[in-house]
Amino acid sequence: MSRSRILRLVAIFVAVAVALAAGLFDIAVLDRDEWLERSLRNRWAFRDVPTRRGAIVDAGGVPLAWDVPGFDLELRYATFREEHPLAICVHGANLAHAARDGHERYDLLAPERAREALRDLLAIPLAWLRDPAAWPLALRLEPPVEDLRRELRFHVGGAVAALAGVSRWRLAAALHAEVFGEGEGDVTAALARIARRGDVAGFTVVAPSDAEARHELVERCLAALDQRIVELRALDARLQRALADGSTFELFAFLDERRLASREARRLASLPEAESSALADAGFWAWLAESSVPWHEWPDWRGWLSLPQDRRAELVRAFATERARRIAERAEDWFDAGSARPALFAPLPPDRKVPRFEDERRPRRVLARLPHELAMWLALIAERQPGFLLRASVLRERGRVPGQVDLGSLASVVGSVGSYAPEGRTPELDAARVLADEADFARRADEAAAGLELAESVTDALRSRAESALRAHYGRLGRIGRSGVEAAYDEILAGRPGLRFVERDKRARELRMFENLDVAPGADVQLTVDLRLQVLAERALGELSPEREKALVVLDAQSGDVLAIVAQVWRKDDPQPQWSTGAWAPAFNPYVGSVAKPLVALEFLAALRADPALGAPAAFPDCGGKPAPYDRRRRLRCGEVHGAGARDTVHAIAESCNVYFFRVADELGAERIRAGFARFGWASPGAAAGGVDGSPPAIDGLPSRQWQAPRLRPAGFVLPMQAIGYGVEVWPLFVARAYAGIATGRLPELRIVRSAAAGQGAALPFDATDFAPVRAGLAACVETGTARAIATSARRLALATGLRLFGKTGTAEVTADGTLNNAWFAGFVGEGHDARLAFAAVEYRTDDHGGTSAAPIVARFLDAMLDDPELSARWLGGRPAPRDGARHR
Amino acid sequence: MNRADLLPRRIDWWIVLLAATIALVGVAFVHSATTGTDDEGLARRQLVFLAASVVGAAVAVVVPYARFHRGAASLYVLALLALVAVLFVGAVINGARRWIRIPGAGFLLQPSEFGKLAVVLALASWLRFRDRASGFDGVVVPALITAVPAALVFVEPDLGSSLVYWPILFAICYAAGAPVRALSWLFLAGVLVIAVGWFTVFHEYQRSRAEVWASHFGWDRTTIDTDPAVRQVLLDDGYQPWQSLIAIGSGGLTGFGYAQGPQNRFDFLPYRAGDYVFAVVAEEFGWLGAVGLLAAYLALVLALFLLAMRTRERFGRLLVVGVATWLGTQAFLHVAICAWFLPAKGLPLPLVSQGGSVTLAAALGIGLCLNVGARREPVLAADGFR
Repeated sequence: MSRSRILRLVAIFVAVAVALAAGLFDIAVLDRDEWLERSLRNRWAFRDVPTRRGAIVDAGGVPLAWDVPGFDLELRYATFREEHPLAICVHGANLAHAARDGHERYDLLAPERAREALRDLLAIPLAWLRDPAAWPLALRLEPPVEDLRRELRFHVGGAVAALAGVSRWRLAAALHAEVFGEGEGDVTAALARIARRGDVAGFTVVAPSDAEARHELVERCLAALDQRIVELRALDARLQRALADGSTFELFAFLDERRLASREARRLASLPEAESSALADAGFWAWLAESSVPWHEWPDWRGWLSLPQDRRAELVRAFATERARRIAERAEDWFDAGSARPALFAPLPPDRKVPRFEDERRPRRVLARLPHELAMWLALIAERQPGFLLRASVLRERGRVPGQVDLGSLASVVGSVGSYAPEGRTPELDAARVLADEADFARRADEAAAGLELAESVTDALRSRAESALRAHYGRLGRIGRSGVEAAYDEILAGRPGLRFVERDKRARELRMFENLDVAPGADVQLTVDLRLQVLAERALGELSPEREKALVVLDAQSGDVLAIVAQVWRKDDPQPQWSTGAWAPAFNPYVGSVAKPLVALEFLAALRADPALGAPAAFPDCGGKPAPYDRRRRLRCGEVHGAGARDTVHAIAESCNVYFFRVADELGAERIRAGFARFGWASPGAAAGGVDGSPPAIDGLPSRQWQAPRLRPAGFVLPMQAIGYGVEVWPLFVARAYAGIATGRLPELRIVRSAAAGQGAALPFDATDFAPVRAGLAACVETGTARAIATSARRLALATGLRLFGKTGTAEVTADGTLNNAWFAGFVGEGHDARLAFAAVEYRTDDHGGTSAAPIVARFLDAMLDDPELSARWLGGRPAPRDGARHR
Repeated sequence: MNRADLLPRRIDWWIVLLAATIALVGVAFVHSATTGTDDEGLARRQLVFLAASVVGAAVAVVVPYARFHRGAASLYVLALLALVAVLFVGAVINGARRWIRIPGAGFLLQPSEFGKLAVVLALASWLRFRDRASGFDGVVVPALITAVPAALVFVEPDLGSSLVYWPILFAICYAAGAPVRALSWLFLAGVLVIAVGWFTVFHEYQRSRAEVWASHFGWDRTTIDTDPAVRQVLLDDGYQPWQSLIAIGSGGLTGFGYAQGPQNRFDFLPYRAGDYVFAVVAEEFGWLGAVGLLAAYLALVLALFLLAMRTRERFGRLLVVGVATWLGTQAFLHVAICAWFLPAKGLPLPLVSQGGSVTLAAALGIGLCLNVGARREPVLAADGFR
């Protein structure tokens, strides 16, 4: 024995040690960053905390949209099926049955049948868990047979462990030893032996004999399963009771739906090679050769593949049926053979591991908005219902009074929120929000990483995880304003979700917190709209001819605050009118007609003052009420005979004399008329006369695309017709604004959100001498003119508040035959510094006129206001007025 | 001056120092791995085992090793009986039947660990007079001596421990002078047996672990992060070695510090007081600490081999070679398994991993080696006069 041999052994050991050291160097030093990142992935987690979105309230502080924190119940089906004994039994038994005869036997719709499933599992021969050859239909199994035995052991051990309350891994290990220790009998016998020996702590039986131990074991498992089913039924009952809105929810149907989805998720596409291999392994070709099937249909394997899928499936079914029959003949005393109905052939690629229920890892919402009591109960029983998750959430409530979810006509103003979606309707908005938030989270992650002196690659990974956490948060709870104030004020309302950057252990227990990004709740947004005025406006609109499309807008004449904004649309196939955006967005041709006349008159009076050369009204012709030729093609006329009234501005406005304004148009010309409209925001000052777009919307805080700008479309209308409002497309909101300007001498900026900075508006270039006749005409219009139908209301208003009512009717023909009109009434309450409200009402496409259809809307609204002392005092500054009857007395 | 008085002076204290250092490091890391867990207290228990092992080693040193030579066959048979008994009366833990519960003692005995020592003794005893023996005496009989206990250990099942027997066989036969050619044939036969066994007697989980190990070399970062099949494997058969790799890799050059390793503290690393204790060392003291421990083992093995080279008496020399190979092989296999250079197997790190049997068996082996070094037994074989 030479020493050199020992030296060689020494050399071998030294070489191995050096190789190991080099290998460890590669892992621990050269690749350290990667492993450190994986270590961080194990233990670092970002936990999101939902934020509360700010409320939207009306001018009086009444909430219209607000967040309610609550709890959702979610189900992670993979956990349910891996840990809940009911699911384990059903899936396990189905797996065994499918392997045996090609079809599944149990579902979750009738949980009591899980008793049979458990009996089936306990009756599986140990040999089946040991020997792949024992499996009858192994060729079409999902997963493949080498995984199948492990799956079945997993199910058997898991079910019994869950029912006995012992460690599933210890029981599985003991069962594994029985299976591969050449244990005899079935699973029950093996478990009885394990229990009698006490191999697994807590898993014992008291029965003295094997037979009695088997019986005791089975009975205990069945009793425990019954108890778990009872508990699940109790959960179902509690959920049913929680559905306060009368809807129903089928918990077991939901579970079974997920069961099917889980099963389907595991069904991978078969590959021809795998099919070939599996068929060959199963003896398919040999069977085919011996059978009567005319296999000359295909000369080789390629020919087989070229057969139609149906034909291939038919042959395989025939083979599987025959095989199942033969197996059933020699089957052990296991399940009732039943009808062997082979399923479709769907082998898996043999070299692939089957992902276990991969698609069902994501939790799915079972029920939202659980009552607090139910949520707490669920938290207490969570351990008994694995797979069910109680998640904190927030829900957006909407309504005008508690319990009423309908926002009515305010719905389109308040708008809506939607879930976060990168491909959503407002991608640019989403992207901006998400990027801002991600940047914030990433900064936090960087800060934490910097404190721990991590490599850049690791901090990059950390940032990526923070971003993933954020995306997951938005995917689950994210809400973003989609329309209305919710969208326009999203930045203010949304707030910012919280984020805890924690270190956790294997059991997901948080052990250390690096960073806590506090939740920043969203701020509230207060509308200028007074809900009570809004309701009055709705009623005023609804009480009169509900089958029409109409709108009413009421503004604070001084500030431009929108106090009420209502529009309704009516469709022939819908008996009920629906609230719409017709007060500010186009439904159709919205020509304003004669409500444009005061604006033209003001422009004319101002022009006349500056340029005496213009023809004064005193020189205008009388109004004869007859058509007069205007050019070679057209004849223009006034509908009434106003006589000398056509030479008086006050009378012309009060009686809406077209002849007066035809003459004014001739005197002013197209450019100055357009300029007059532009001063009131009805046209862009710099736009060309040929196709004048409206000025940009000026409603503070609201997205421009939701608010249609006024516009001039004079094409098709001769100049005099433009002066009486044809070709002028303006929506009630902007009509009311213009009349607020006439009332105060200053065109206010529109505002619908109180928190927005209030603008001063723009002073109009008219002096008192210009305004006086126009306002006088508007007052006369209400008292004696075309709007005299509401003179009573005007008088009541004056009595109650000392304020005069000013208004102008308009009736714009919108069809060629003149049968349908846009009937308008616009005006204001009080003038100058006393001006309180400005309003515009319209009834679209009506056969009526402004004075008889739109003006009564305003009258009803004002009457209702005067009936309410508080509203009257708040907005009109007066005392409650006596009813008509009392006044007459 | 009698012989007993001389014994302490003849003991190779370097070996004692190295073994003691490794053992104390082991206690420290068992403590680190179990603090705050349900297994807290195992370090104290390990200290008790260590004390018992010191006593056992002392006995092994004091008793003239010629008596072990004479009793080698008896010890071997005793070990075989224990290995057979464990198959029938052994306690099942984690699906394996490797331990015999000692009634009233409160601990379990793992015969396979003592079986290694018994095989070393048996092989050394058998080959003592068979210089350059080949064929039946020099290779076949030693192979059978090794195969029987290794097979019994395999049946338990304990593939890791059964694999340790074979390097012992080769090293002792080689040191005894067996021709390389004969050993090559033996090696080929072993490969053939493994190949046949792969399809016949290897358990499904053993094949699965090997398959996962073989496939993991083909994974890149993208595959690991995105392929659901790979991710599933990492939660299943690949979980233990993967978490061990993370522990070793994240430790870097210097580690997180004692009891600060996240994989250890946060319970991600399984069996970290036993089969993956080296990963704890690497995570908490980094590559330097890991290589330090590796170097300590190498030093111990080299010291034992040097002792063997100094020993002229053939039984003693083969005994020391066998013990050195056993400890070195098991230690290096443990490291390789922790770093996933080899498929996942449950194999403790001698003197470091928690466990009474493995510690006591290693201590007895080292004690016997010290005994060999401390004595001047008469050289009975011709080989000794060369």
